[in-house]
Amino acid sequence: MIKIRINDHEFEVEPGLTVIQAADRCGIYIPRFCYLEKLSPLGGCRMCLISIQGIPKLQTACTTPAREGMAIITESEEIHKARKAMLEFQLIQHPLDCFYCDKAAECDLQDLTYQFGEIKHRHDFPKRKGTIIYENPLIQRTLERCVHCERCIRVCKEIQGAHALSATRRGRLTTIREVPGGGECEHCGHCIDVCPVGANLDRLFTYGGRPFQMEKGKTICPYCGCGCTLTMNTREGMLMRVRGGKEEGVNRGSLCARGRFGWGIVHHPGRLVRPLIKKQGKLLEVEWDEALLFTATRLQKIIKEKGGAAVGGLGSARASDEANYLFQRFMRRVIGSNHIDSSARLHYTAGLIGRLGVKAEVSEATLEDVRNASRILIIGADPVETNPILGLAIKKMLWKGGRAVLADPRSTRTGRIATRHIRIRPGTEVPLILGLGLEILKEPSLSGFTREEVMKNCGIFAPDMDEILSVLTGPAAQKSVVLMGRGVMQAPFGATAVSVLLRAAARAGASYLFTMDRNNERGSCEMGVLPDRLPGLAPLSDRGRFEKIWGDKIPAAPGLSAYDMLHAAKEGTLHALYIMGENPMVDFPDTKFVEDALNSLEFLVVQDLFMTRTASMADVVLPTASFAEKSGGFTNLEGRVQSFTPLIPSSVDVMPDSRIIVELSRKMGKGFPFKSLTEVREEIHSLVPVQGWKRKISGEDMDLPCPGAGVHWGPADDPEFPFLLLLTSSLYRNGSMSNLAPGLAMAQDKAGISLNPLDASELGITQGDKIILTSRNGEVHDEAGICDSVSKGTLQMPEGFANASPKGLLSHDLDPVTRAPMGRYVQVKIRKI
Amino acid sequence: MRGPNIARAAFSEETLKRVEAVISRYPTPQAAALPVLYLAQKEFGYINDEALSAVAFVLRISRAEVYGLATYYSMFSTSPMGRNVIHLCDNLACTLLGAESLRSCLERKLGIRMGETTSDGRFTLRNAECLGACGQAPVMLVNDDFYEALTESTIDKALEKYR
Amino acid sequence: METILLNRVHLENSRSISVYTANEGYDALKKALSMSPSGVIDEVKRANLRGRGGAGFPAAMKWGFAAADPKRPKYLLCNADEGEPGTCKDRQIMEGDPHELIEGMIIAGYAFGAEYGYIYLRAEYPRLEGILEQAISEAEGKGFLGKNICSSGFNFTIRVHRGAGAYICGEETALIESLEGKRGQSRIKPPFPVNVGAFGLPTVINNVETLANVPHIILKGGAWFAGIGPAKCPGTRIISLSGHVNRPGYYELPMGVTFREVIYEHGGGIRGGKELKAFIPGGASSPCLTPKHLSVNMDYESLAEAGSMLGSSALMVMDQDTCMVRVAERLMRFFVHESCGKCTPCREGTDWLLSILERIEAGEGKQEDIELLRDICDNIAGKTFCPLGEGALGPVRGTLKYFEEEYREHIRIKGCPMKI
Repeated sequence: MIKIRINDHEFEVEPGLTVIQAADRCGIYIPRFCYLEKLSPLGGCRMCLISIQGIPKLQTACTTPAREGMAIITESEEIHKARKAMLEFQLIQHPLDCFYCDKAAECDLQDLTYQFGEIKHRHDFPKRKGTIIYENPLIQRTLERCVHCERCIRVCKEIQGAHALSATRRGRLTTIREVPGGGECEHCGHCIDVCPVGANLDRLFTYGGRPFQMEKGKTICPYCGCGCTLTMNTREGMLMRVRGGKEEGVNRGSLCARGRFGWGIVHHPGRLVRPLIKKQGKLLEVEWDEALLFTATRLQKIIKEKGGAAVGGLGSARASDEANYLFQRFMRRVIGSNHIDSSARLHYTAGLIGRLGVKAEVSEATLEDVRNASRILIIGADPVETNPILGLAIKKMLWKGGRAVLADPRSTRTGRIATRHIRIRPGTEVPLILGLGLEILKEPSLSGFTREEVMKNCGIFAPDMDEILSVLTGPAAQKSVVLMGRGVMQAPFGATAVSVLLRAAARAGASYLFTMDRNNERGSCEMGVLPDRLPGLAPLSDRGRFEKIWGDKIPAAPGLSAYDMLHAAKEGTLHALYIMGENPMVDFPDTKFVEDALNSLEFLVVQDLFMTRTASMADVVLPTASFAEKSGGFTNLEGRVQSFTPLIPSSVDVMPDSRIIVELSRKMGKGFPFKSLTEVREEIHSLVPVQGWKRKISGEDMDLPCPGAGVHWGPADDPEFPFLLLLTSSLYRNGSMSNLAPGLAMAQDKAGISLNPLDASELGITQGDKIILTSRNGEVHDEAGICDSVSKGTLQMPEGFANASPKGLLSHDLDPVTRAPMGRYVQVKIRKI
Repeated sequence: MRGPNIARAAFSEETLKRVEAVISRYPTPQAAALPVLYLAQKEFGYINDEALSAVAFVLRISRAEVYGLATYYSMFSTSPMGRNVIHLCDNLACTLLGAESLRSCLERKLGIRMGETTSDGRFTLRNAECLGACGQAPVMLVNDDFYEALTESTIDKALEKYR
Repeated sequence: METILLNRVHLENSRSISVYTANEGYDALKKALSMSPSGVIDEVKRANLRGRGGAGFPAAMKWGFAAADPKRPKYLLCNADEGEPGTCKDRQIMEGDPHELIEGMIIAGYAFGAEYGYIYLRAEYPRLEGILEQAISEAEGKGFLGKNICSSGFNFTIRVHRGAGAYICGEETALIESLEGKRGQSRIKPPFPVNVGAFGLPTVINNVETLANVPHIILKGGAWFAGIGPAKCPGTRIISLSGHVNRPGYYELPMGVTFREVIYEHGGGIRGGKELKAFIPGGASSPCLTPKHLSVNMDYESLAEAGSMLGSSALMVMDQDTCMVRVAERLMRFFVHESCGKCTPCREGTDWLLSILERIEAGEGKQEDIELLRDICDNIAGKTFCPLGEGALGPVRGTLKYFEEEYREHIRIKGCPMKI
């Protein structure tokens, strides 16, 4: 600690601070525009002028290091005059349009000017007219209000790594803006949060109200698995805007476009407000009582006639831990079926099985560990798009001098930031991992995956292998992280690959993490929304413990996974399906198959916010509350359980998922004993051991099948379908629901199909042409985009867009271990319209 | 541009070679920004969208940053320029010795105002803030050539050689 | 009077390495390489060589700081961004005797242990880029640059980096930013460039004229150099003389020469037999002086005492018919154009000053404008991020100090009373 004097009071502060930081810590406020703790200092606004004993000139507090024995004066006549002069300079060009500026009443320029009292308008020349730039669909940039503090430039560069803003021109003509035409902004909106004036504003909020009319609350983002804390402003029961908050949550005040601008689903006019029952082929609105009674009766009839095993249930990778817990308990206890699964099957189960298959201690990385890692190996993942805050953690780590090695066949945003992007052949993530496993673990079962074999399969060279291996070798590997995504999870033998890589990581002392597409993939699984696992991922053999508390028998045999249920439905052995908050018609591969399966059901119940394609096929549709209207907990990709409470009251007739399950159980004569969500939570705690801030999961050395040598990896040549479509993710979508968020649609409204310029010119396709892709399963059409970085012979298309989804093109070949549909690619042919 | 798409480095092969050579002279690619912007301006005539993307691509910085540079330094132009650029100094030393009347003379002869380009694209007239030849004031710079101790009668002759 | 820097510029083919070596060229380098690096620094310290860029900081001290920093590699940046209006001195050296600069750079690099040198060349000197590059490749050909120079084990390369038109890049940290491919804006100090400079590494920035003196000091000894001109700031100075004199141009004269001698002896007096009204002694940012200051010596201390500064020793002379409001306005327009826009007082204040000056000159001035000008100057003074904003006040403060009545007359008669 060092001793300093501020305004004749002695203080002790930690060394290495600037004067403004020291003063802040001592509770002494120095006015500022450009200074912000989390950004590098600029020293531009000159508001923080102070005087230091022994130095004749005033100094800026934000750039002067505080030193032992320094005597600082923060208020004096000279300082007051100087600061007032700076304000006068700032106000010369400011339009003084506070009446209709959204920033009014939370504007630093307004507040500081008020503090200094009247400032005479001695500048009697016309103001330079600034402009409002509307190029950004979500952020309004009013250049004439700008005080040139450059916080937005710095936050965009230093915190978000987007570099979308720059000061342009110079001197009095300096304006801060995006490149004309835009295109580089990632719409994180951080520039809105840090702007001290109304120069960067949230366009979704325009004229939404004054700050004192806002109520403030926090919640957890409902999109990806990062689990960011959102600071929400609400007004009269309506969400008004989202802000990052003060360095809060796992996101530390940063957000992505989805978190910032994706909340519009809550107030979407298409929200379901009443239960519906299909009568004469039409879904008609009914009262809750009728809907629940109808559902209960139909389910009871099927159970009575065909047994509980004739009913399946899809829990939700979006719903809360509590709702998922109640759902599986309902399925197992009230229905008497283990046929329980969710969309987590598609993206995460391979990782889960792979993890459970390793008994050894493998340390799991947190976002903070990623930020502090020295090296990261990313396989088959695009975290910058799928989990943007994890992407930011990787950027942070790179800025600190770390290395990121990416093995992925696609051209991705992660590829752009990675130290090294190794473009492996599509579909060869698994042999790559098994090859790594052989090098590190030297297990005979992996002997088919020699270096030569792997390099041939993956289409890579020795330096690439060395680069990848380097992450997991040497003492520095202690600070390495391996990150896997859907490229591994949805590959054949994905679970095997995960367990091999985890064991290799454990051997090296490295930690691991999975990308997660949905906000509660992990929570839903850990709550037992799996056909063969109970809450806490306990095996069915452990069911006695649960039966004791639940007071009912749990079926002993493992149930069916999602696609097996659909097969069973098609074959007529599964008669009813209860879907809580999933939309398989859009989010599951092989749409045609899913449709046939759902049509074969005798009875389909769907619980959802919207009339989705799946809901429109249901016999009963039960409207549920959105994340903003309910309580619960989500488990993020780190395993962190984060709870949230309602921000706004729910509209009249919707119920939270958990309450629907409870009410329905009561109607079926097997009510739950819970009086509140707290009691549900207590039961979960009593059954699921917790370690620190996450649930304790232990592996068990499973024998996962290992592929032999000579297997063909990746797609086989098919002259009829000469192109390979690789599925990608978009920053602006996360599942079908995100299409209904107006903010995200404004940021990007079309999926678009990217192709290599050489392929494009051979086919006579130019930018913006409409093209049709046809696979053995279906077809899709969208606009073409020409892109250098897409490999020749491949196409890329993001999932999640309503205008065109590649899901219909995919087949649903299931991996024998995970029973998940494989493939992040499909062979297609192209036709220009 | 959509998502991760990176525009092509649209330099000609010859320029690209020079770009690569110039980048190799610095410890970081970005340090080559000014020389690369000069090359881009030469190739594209001015710093247009294509030039921005190409420069951003080779320097591995964002287009916004390139735009920030191109508008900061007065030697770069983000609007089209004539085949020959006249920089007429009108700082103090030249003003004291008649730069004003040279300016009106040039404007009259070319039929354009300061900052404009002749309709045939032959000349762009720009003012310069001191060309560093104050001992020989007044001066102008046409492309890379200096003309010192200018008078109205010597201007004509000077401009003749530029087509 | 003996010159130091411009001895060779009048020789035929003065730029070529053969002429240079035939006239003692690169002898100093060979001598320096036989000395220890700290010996070279000591010699330059003995010479008391002060920076010719404008601030007058002792060169040997900068080298010493950088030499003491263990980080490697180190950079030597030659500031050839001669941008101060009225200045054309460095151009004479680079155009007429580029090897003098290059030899100076190699010796400086050797002295503090730099591996890389960059010459940051003013954009407005396009032809000089080729001249310097030619000279560099000649020096490389003779083994004076590159690996293992003259078998000494010392490696040094020089590259020319052409700026792109921004006056502020003459400020050393802005120059570094610009070299790194950024918008040339000054950096926060500390850290200082000698520790954290170009690319985060120890960096010395010296002016062309400063470096060009180095070979002479090494060859003839620091004591010899220290004996020329005033003891506090020995050596010569290349003075750029412009404006209303009969013989404008550049003159290498000993430090401390009087303005009278420069204007009347070397410059041949005022054109057309007119009277001297005022002169700007050291480039655009130095406040003007009047005939009563003709006996002031051209050195740092004397000029500071006279209320101005030596700056880049660019002497601009104005005759009796010159309008001083116009002069202030013209120079202010330059500073407004060159303000980088980063800090509030410079960005907004200089523009405001210009508006008022324009209004006065156009005959629309108000009585209170004089006070307002002074107050705005006070509000800018000492509060800007870098010296540019401070420098912008020079022309206003200088003209107001000596010619306030002329300002008032503009306001009174609603127009300019002068011919120019």
